Amino acid sequence: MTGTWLVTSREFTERLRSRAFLISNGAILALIILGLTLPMLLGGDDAIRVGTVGEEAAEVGRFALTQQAAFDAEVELVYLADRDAAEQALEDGSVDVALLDTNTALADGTLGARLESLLANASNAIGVDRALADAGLDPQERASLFAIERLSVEQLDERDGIDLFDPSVVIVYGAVFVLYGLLAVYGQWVAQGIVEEKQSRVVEVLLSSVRPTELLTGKVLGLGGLGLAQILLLTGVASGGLLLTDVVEVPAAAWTALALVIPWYIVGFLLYATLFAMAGSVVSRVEDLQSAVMPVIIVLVFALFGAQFALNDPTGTIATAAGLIPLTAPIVQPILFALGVASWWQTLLALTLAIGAIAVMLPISARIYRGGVLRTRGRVAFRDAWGSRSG
Amino acid sequence: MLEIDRVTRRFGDLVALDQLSFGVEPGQMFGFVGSNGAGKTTTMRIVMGLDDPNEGQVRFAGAPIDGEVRARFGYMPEERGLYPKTPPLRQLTYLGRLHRLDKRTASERAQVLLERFGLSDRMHEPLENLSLGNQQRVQLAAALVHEPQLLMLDEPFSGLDPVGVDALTEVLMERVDRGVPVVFSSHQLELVERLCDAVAIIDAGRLVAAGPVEQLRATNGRRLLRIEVEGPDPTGWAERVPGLHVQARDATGVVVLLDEAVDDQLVLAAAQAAGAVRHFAAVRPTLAELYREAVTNHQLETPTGGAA
Repeated sequence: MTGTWLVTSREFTERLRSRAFLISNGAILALIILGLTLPMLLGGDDAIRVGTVGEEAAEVGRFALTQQAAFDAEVELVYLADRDAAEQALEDGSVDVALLDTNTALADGTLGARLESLLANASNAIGVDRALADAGLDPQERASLFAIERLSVEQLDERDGIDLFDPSVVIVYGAVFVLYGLLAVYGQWVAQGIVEEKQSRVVEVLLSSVRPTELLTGKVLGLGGLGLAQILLLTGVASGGLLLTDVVEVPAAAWTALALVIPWYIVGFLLYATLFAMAGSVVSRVEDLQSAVMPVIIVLVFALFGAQFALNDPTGTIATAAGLIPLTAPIVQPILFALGVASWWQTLLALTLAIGAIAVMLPISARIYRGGVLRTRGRVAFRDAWGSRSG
Repeated sequence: MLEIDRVTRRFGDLVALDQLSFGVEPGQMFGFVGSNGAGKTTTMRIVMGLDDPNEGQVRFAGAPIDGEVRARFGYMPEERGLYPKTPPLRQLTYLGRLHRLDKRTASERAQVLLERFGLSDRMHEPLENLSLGNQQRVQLAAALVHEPQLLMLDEPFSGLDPVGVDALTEVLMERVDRGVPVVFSSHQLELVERLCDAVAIIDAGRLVAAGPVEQLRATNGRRLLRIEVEGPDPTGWAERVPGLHVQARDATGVVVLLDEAVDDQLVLAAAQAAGAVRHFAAVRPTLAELYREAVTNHQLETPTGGAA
């Protein structure tokens, strides 16, 4: 136990000490922070300033204010004295558009579809309102006419309704991509660490004081722990940034989906670590490692394809299966959950299956490791490593 | 204290160790001698738990060796190995802690050892920046940092210059004086003879001879005498004595091998008859001679030989 803990803390701190690790993490953090703050710095206050000349135009402007949410726009009113003032304000950029009366707007360049339809709608409404007033309807009756809900569009097929640019999907896809990267990098570090200890022969010194299982467990926990710290830091900074900057509005479901990435990282790392450890156990030189880990990397890339597939066809058989199969689930299942097509019981089932797979793979991997770790010459056949020794 | 008891290790059809038995006593400097592939490294790896015997057992202080006991052994593997990028102090502290020392003790002992080996000013540099000789010193320090109760050193002297050999000898002698058994393998038989209280000679996985060097000489059975006679024929007389074989001759005397049945007093009488005897003494075989003879005899008995 002490041995395991010592190995764990060494693996954790040795990587943490490396300059490359610190630099790459600093770069990722800087990118996240930049990504969150840049829109704020560039966009600043993105309300559209609408100038109005006279009471008629002001009435249209005020109506547009009440409708801005429905048109997904943000409008500010600026009252102007006359047409000359409006032209002046347009030229120096203090307003984006100026309303001269109910039916006339003055602009310098195009207005954009949303703003144009907002203003057109307001101008139209004020015109209709005036006609109705002339026809003798009192203000209350007229107001009730304008309280009609805007048209909403429903999709025939459920999946067509999934918005790939939905913030929760974008956030979770980003998180899953990071997850994929961490599994690949930290998993390879497990394999690399094993081979480095074999190649430098330090493993003989180590194994005279700790058991092979302790050495392997310590390595997996140390590197996995570092990866966990990294994903917590990255998601923490990203979440904090999202909360503080409101670049996008994050729905509650997205937070749940994001939080689920953490258990998926833990389960995914442990599962892949057993595979990477086996790959590392059978080679003796770092130069030979690449070919040994290739099959594992290919499986991982397939999982990422699975996530892509799930985005295109979340309710299809392939996506459902990939969301449950232990080797692809860590990457695919969080996507399905974020898309809202996987229920809690599906997530729990997938997690249970993955944990079951770890329970099966762990003793196999440990046995291969024990059999292969002291064979420091050439490549070891899996069969030999398996049958090597009991201890 | 350390007992190797009828240990057999097979690699497929190959018998690397064949019923190997010998013992090492507390405070003994024990030399482990044999040609390449005789089984020295395999034996040491089995003692260190890095390999398992097919048959037989290794015991320490009367009990089979478990992980806790083994953690108090110090080991220097044949192929040196430490973390290339980790500085010596951090490296030794880590290994000390793996051998059950607490952090502070491990760090203190590592510093004392590094100072002892003249590496104080290099202890924060990556190991790979040190010269090979210095890396070997760090490797030895790694075997010593936890004050082991048994030292197993596989070819510790190979690659060391004479100054390095003396420094290593001194360090090992200190341990021996404290009662720690030190087992080391070596090809340098003169060195083994100079340092060791006892040796084991193995060939093709089998024990050829074991015990204190003096005892091996005594039981060697070969009786070699150097005889110097002052007279007209200082060497020729010896050829006329039955059962006497001249091995070497020079201007002043001869070295003769006595047949088993020959009485050395009769030889002395024959020498006196040839002139005034100035020198008459047994020639002590060197370890190298004992080794060669033992291995040759062993190979004559077992013509199949062996390997690994």
